[in-house]
Amino acid sequence: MSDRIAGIVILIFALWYGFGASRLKAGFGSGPIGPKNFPLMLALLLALVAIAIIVTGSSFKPKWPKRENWLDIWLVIASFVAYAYLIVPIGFIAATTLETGLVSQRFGAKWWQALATGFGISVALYALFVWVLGVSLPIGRIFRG
Amino acid sequence: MEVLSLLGQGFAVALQPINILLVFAGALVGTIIGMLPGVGPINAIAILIPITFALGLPAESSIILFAGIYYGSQYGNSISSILLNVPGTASSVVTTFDGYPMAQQGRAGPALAMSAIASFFGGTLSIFFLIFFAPLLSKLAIKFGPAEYFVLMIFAFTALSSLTEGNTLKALASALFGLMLATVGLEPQGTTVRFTFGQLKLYDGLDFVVLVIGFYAVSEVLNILSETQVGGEVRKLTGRVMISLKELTSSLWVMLRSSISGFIIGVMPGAGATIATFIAYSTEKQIVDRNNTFGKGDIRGVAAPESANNSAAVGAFIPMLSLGVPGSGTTAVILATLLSYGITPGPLLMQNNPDIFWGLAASMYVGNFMLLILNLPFVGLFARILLVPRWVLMPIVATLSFVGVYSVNNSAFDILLMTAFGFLGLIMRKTGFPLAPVILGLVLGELMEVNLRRALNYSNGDWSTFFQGPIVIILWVLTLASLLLPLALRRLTKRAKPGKLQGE
Repeated sequence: MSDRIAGIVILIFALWYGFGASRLKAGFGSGPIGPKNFPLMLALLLALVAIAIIVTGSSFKPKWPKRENWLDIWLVIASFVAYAYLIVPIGFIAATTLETGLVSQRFGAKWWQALATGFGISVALYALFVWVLGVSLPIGRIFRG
Repeated sequence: MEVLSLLGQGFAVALQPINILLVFAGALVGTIIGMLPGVGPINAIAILIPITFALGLPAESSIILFAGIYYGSQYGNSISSILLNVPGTASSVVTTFDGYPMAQQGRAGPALAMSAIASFFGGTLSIFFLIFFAPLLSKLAIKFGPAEYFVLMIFAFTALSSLTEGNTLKALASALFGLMLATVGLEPQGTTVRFTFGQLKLYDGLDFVVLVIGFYAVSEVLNILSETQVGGEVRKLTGRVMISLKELTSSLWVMLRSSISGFIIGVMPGAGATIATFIAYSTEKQIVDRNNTFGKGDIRGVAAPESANNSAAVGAFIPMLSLGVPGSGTTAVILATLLSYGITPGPLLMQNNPDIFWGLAASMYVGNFMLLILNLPFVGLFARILLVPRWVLMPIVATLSFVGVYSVNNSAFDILLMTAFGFLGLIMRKTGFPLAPVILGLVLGELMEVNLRRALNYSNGDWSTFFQGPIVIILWVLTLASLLLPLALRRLTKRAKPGKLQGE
């Protein structure tokens, strides 16, 4: 059953993608085939595969996470998003300590272990990347004064 | 003796201090990530791509490092199979069949030693084959025009899809999805911008590193988080890591046969190391298992998959290097790296960039010797890494992903993109859609479209160009055969348990 649902989702995606492709306009000098032909081919093929998945079905049963695990997943995803917005304002070390600490805590660490892990990892990586590899990472706007 | 002088030239590259250091780093990292369940070579390579750019490494050095991680992981993956009964990567699932029973019987030492020796055997024998066959295939491929390449890529997709564990249709859907992702941004040789939804940041297309890290590393962290873990018990390593001469000689033919079959399977696009291990094991079970000891701690049951997967890992480089068409997720990532250096692998690679091919081949010898040393006397040290708690390990993977992604463009937008694809990857893992075809599609998408357009330009828009000429016909036959092959293969490997891990 779940395969059929996936097939329907894929079919809708293929149609949506194909519709987007069909509205593309060719620029100059595109040759016999323009920018839309290849995407249209892909959309057609994916639609066919989706229909085949819907028609054949299968006994495949996905192993969905339990509710408390879903909570963990959403929390970690939310923290990733927060991280993307925090890294520049509060800097790499502070943001990474918080983020890594949270992930560590969700994987079963006690809060002080998590914080120590987070701080240790972020300082070690900052040192490795900035001082050894010469990659620039944000120091944090709030520390610039 | 042209080969010897070329190989000598290769050693001149491989033995430069920086490259020796990188081979060692690759072997070390490969052993560790191979050993750790949930972290595969693709994750490690994707995270390292921005770092190699930051360091300004030349192309051959990056390739030497990444290849070292790939074949190094084929050594390390058996450590957790034997001691933990959890395969480090999918290609060591088979090693658990006899490796873990041996550990239970207190023979973890001989099992680990056999695994290291068999890996070395398969790893070094296959380099001879690589040096011999890659130039031959290049000579053949030089006749390929755009139509041939286009059909060859179709073959690569059908082969990968039909040989991936699980449903072929789902794998094809994954591949097409990957190709669609590749169409985001400015079209090749054109002026039209596609599927960017007005986002300026998407004009250059979706960044490869961001996608791979999201799809593999982030979705793996989420995936592990989603499973209530049943903690396996790490078997103590008792006794010395040695095997008797009798055990070794009993496995000699097993290793030779498994290395040869592993190599052939590794060269086939899509097949790869995992399938090589299943085939080697079931073949050896039929040939040498007279007293029905396979699965109960027979050392030959360790020798077969471990020589096969190392041999296949080397074989997998052949289609990538000599045709420019990779057959697996890992070689696709390595191809993408070469492309970003402006180097297009293919039949001309050996003429235009001999340092890359011969330097890589030579470095593989160096790397395998290092791996033998790392995995024999020092295996006890590595085994301790298995005791590191997951609440330390997983945050490290997550944080390395952030840094890797952020350092590509210094862009927080990329972290959001990575998170979105990480979530999508999780859903795909749960619903049984394989991830490797997505990566292959993403890498080959642009090449495929360019070749399609070029072929139709040459033929003035006549589509029959894709059905003319002997090479194209052969490739279509192979494509059809690859779609029918899984039925035969499934019969062969039916006994074996399905792999739970993805990504090779």
